[in-house]
Amino acid sequence: MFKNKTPFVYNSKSRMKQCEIFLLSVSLLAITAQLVNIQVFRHHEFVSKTERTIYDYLREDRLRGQIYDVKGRSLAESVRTHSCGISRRYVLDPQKTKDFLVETLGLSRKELDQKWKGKLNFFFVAKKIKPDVYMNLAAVLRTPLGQGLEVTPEYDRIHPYGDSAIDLLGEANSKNFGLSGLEQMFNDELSQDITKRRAKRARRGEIIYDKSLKEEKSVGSLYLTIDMLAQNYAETALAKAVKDYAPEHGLILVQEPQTGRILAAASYPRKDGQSLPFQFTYEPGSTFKTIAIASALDAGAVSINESIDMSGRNWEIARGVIVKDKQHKKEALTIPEIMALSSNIGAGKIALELGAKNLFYYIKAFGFGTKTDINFNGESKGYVPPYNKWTKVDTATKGYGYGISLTPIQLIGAYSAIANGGWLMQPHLVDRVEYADGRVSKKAKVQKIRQVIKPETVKTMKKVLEHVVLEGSGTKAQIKGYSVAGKTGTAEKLDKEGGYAKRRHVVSFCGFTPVEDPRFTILVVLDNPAKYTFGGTAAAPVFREVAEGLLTMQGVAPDKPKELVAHP
Amino acid sequence: MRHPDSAHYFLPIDKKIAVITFVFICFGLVFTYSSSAFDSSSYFQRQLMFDFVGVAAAIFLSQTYSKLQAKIKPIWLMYITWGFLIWVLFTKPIANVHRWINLGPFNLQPSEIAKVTLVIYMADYLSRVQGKIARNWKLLINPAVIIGITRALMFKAPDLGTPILICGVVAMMLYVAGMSWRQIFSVAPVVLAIVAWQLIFYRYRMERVLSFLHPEKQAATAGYQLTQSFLAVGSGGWFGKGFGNSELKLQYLPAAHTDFIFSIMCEEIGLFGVGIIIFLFCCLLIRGVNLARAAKNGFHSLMIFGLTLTICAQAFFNIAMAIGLLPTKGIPLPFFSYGGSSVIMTLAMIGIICNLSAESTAPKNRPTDDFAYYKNRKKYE
Amino acid sequence: MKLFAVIFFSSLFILGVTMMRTEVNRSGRAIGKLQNEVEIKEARNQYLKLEIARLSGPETIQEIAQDKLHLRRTPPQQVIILED
Repeated sequence: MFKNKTPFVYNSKSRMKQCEIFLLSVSLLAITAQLVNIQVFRHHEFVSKTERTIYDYLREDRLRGQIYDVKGRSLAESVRTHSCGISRRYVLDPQKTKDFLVETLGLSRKELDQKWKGKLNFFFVAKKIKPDVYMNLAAVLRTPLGQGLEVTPEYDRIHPYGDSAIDLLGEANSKNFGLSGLEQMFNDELSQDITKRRAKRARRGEIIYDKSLKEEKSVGSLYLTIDMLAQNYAETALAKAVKDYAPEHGLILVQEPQTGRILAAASYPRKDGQSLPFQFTYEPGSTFKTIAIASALDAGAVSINESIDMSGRNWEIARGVIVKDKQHKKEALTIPEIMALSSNIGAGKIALELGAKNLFYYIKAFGFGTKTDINFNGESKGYVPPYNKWTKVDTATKGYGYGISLTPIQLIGAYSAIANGGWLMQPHLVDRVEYADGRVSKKAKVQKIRQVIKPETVKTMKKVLEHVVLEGSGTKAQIKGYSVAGKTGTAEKLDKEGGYAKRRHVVSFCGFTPVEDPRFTILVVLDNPAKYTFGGTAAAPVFREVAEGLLTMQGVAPDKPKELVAHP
Repeated sequence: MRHPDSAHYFLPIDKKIAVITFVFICFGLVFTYSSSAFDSSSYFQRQLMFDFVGVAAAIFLSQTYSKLQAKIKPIWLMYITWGFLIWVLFTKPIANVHRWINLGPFNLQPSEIAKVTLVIYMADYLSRVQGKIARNWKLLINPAVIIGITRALMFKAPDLGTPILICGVVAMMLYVAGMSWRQIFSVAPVVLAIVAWQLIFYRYRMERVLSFLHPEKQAATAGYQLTQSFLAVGSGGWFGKGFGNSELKLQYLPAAHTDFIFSIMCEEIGLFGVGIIIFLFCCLLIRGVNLARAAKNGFHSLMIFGLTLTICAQAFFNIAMAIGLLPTKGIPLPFFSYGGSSVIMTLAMIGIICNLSAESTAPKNRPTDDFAYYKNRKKYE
Repeated sequence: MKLFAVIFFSSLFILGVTMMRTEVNRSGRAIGKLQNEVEIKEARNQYLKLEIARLSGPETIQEIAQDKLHLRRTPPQQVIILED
């Protein structure tokens, strides 16, 4: 081929050198350039990406604190569960994996197939997997069958008492974050502050512990003043009342008058984090007469033996504003009679007697118009208009509980003040927080806010209220062997136009027992029952039922044992 | 060529190559441990065993290779290699590819053997036709057939990285053996066309090739490995996180102890540290080529050249792959990546290089008494 | 020979350091695993305890007492308190 040409001249040694230089220059240039690019210029980018990949916050890795009632019964606790998802792409044998999931997790095959056909590569197949099932699941995770399964820890908030008291407790989500109610109010105490604590993780999610990750137990458990038994009595009684009268809302609140501790707070409808005893505002109606008359007696504006003129049971306070009493036919009433018959005219006149300024002072002193320190989520402060804007009519109507709005927790505080000798007590819902490291932070110290009325007035008021139950509108609240003091209330409700709609009304009863040494103050409110009823007929029996339960529960000795002998 | 009495003579081992190899072995073990121990410590133990076997093989071959070679025709080596390559096709695939033959204690990778035998065969053949190639096109047929068969067999495996590497090495050997530029320009397009066709033939290869172009886009699938590799390399920075402190090795980077060990090295010792490693590979290349140039015999010279090139090109190939310059293909980093076949064959190659260079440069009048020679060797050199 | 010794011992030292650090990670993971196991077992216990709490809760007891055993709630009047 090349015979006629000059032979091809080359030097193999120099060609070797050429090859060497070629290889070195090309690879070194490219490699050095790329390495400098990645390791020097894009260093920070990759460092932060690596951090994000490998380190993770620990928030969901700590159990949330528990919530207990006053006797140490657990009301809410967190349990480690797992959720199982699937990355479809990594599943080796879809049929086998599906079979396994259907069998182990008890899924419906139809649903699973449907999800499988969807567009998403990753989807959850089951959440809140219990530990027993999880152990079956974990066994296959490292095997070919388990490829594509992603099992991540999550938390389930469990309420051993079902949805009892759920309105107070509220909800916490699967990431251990409190969403409503006490769970939200005490989220900081119940969960650990770990915003800066991060853990190294291996790819499969295993945490790699190091020195910086020592167990730091700062999770607290919440002890409420609620007694689950009392709560149960309240809830059953309320449920029964709801069945009988079908109100829109209903609530029962139980307080210890001596300490201010809330023993039970039931609401209807029961939704998590929506506790009506703290959030419901209404015009109290006749139950407020107690407050007005106690104030008047305390201020000395009227005396207990005074009788109030009823003059035809029609009273024109101002032009065109007429108050009528239909429930009695007397021309004059004493104060116990006014209370027993629940006379609006009487209460209105006494309020005028006391005067706007004084009445306003007492109303504020009883704690109306301000939030209690419980500070429950969504707690309302009610509404007390300033006294300088009151007309004569306003003052009079305040006397029987109109033109003012309040919350149940304020009203029960006022009744407790009458029950315990005139002291407004700080109400408590949370007894203490106990931290895992042994610290205890006491929340429910007995705290007297102020003396609202004098002890002599209290004595008189107790007699008056006992009289209401014995002979007045509250007879259905009587408990054999025990003395009961209380006041009924039937209030027309403000409708949307601002006038008083006859058919929308609130019936209530508030009282305490036993009278001399009160153990419980109980408030029952039924909002707008389906058929028209009165506090004395609808709310008083509920009071009795709850009170009976509580008295049995606490083992309170009857203070009127003679009655028991008379009716064995 | 060989001295008749060389049986009693300890052939000196090239000191530079020995030092570099020793550094690689020692630090290779460190990194094998570091990158695999989190999941299993057995890799380190096995690698240690392989290194011992490899070093023994290297020392053995450094003394005896030429004599052994004289007894076997290179074409027989090719037949044996093809035998292995065919055998591997009938084994149970590991991770979907036929790449390993299970031999009890360890898995034999025939493509590693093919690398060496092909170089031996080519060196032998080319040394005989050296200087004539340029004038005779027919002489190219033989290497083309041999490579064609080898490639076809590997292609069935499927394995693409090794054949490309082998092709590159053989091409350079052909060039050194005296191919004319005209021949080079007419053969090169054909070879490139074959490579392109093979790439398209298997889709997963295409995916791999594409993934290296846009690793972030395909982070979930084919690009995952490369993305993690980038994280490892990038977070290393100038001086790295320190030995044993790699974070991506915590199951994040797949094949951290085999193909992607370089990324872990980058993460642990940084640009500075891997700079030294790359520099040592360059030294190895330069030293090897110098030895090849100094060899007095065409076969020895081509052998040394081919083997050095195989080791170093493979190293650069692997590094380029780990940092995303080339598509990810299963090519291990010599001395560092875990793998019995790779470690033993690489060390064997080093042994052969030492043997050939020693044979080639040894003085003719050396004494028969090893000890006397060794004592006064300076006088003879 | 000296050079080889230097290389050998320095790499041995580095291997030691590497082993130590890797061991920290490994034991960290082992602790994590144990922790996980403990928590799973605790969770199982907890479920059992919860079941007890549920069954001994007032609602369940009341149901059993009233529906199955036909008991009535004691009125407070019938409670006799024995003072000591």
